[in-house]
Amino acid sequence: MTPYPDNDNDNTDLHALQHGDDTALNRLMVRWQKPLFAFAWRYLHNSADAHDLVAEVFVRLYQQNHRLAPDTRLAAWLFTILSNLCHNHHRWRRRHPSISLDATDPRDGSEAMATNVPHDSPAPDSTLEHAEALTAMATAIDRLPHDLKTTLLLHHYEQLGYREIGQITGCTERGVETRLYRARQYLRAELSPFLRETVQP
Amino acid sequence: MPPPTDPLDSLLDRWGKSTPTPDRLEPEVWRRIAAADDIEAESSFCAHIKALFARPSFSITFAAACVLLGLFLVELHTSRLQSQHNLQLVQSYLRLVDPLLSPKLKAPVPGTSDNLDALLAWMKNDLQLNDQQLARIKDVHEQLSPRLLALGSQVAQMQHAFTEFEKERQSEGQVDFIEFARYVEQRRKLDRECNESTRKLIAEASDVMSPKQRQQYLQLLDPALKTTGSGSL
Repeated sequence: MTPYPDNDNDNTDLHALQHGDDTALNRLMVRWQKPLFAFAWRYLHNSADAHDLVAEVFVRLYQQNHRLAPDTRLAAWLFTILSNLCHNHHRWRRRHPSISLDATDPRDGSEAMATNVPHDSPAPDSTLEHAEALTAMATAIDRLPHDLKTTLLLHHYEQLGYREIGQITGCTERGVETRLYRARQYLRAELSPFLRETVQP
Repeated sequence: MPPPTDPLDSLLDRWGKSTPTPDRLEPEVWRRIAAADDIEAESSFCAHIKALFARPSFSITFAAACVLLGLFLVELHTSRLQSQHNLQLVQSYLRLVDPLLSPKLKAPVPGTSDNLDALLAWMKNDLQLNDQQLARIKDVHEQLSPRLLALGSQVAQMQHAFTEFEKERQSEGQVDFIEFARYVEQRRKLDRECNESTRKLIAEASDVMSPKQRQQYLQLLDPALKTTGSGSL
């Protein structure tokens, strides 16, 4: 899971950025690049797109930093922008299909081109069963509606609370809880064969 | 005893570990910010221009200024063409009245009736002469025209003689100074006669005119005389 960056440092750097210290943006990028990229990659299953959207988030942070209140919860702001960008990009990609070089295509469950290309990064798992399970997981997550997907990814991987997820997705804490439940129910249904196999004694 | 691990969470955790490592973002972010600043600077200038033109007072003033500038340029062009035409007419007139100018300029033969009539028509229009004045000025020119033509012919002969002297000097390395001194004396006399004839014509023509017309007439001749380098008047 992704460690959650400290909000005090965020506010200090945001304050510095608002007062003309551009190096504060570099510090924020160092701190937030990894969790934002992870979220975008899990949402889009594409490194290049994830990199592109995360860069866009920081550009917007730089351009709009004067509009933010000093006590802004930067995590919520960054994930709100990124989730909206991911949503728009995902819709655009569904209308303009293309072949991904570095990810499986969750829509048809096919192997990615990158699996046939030698590279240094380790495979998701060493066994075929695990690979199938991970591919099925990617497919199932990709098929989740935007709100359920965002809620699930933010809760499970970014460890955000219901209140912050509610701020990002624009619903109440109760709504977040419901979405999370529905997302998990959907995944259970889609991944039932793999879930039985993964139960450890 | 710890609660049993949910197999879904376990699978989610395993899938989450497959996330690749991101590349460095800073260069790309700063490049985009710089590009956006350039576009913003450009668009803010355009927006400023648009905002100016959105104000009716400015757009009307601008349109009026453009129309006035256009009219001014047309007027300037017309005026320049007119002044060039006037200068040509004045030079033609000077060729007509000054025998010393005739051989120097490529021009129609001075004193022809067609030329005289055309130039007198211009003078009438430009100086606003009445018919009586025009008739009197035409008489003056016609009376003096034979004399001017004869003088022009003599000037041409003298120039031919000078050319012969020059040829002789170049071919034989010397000239007959007594002959040349006689030539110089004749040329001076001819120049004086030409100047007197021209002055007489201009003076008689001026006498017919009102003071204002006379002043304008002499002003018209003055720049043409300077342009031709005559100075004989």
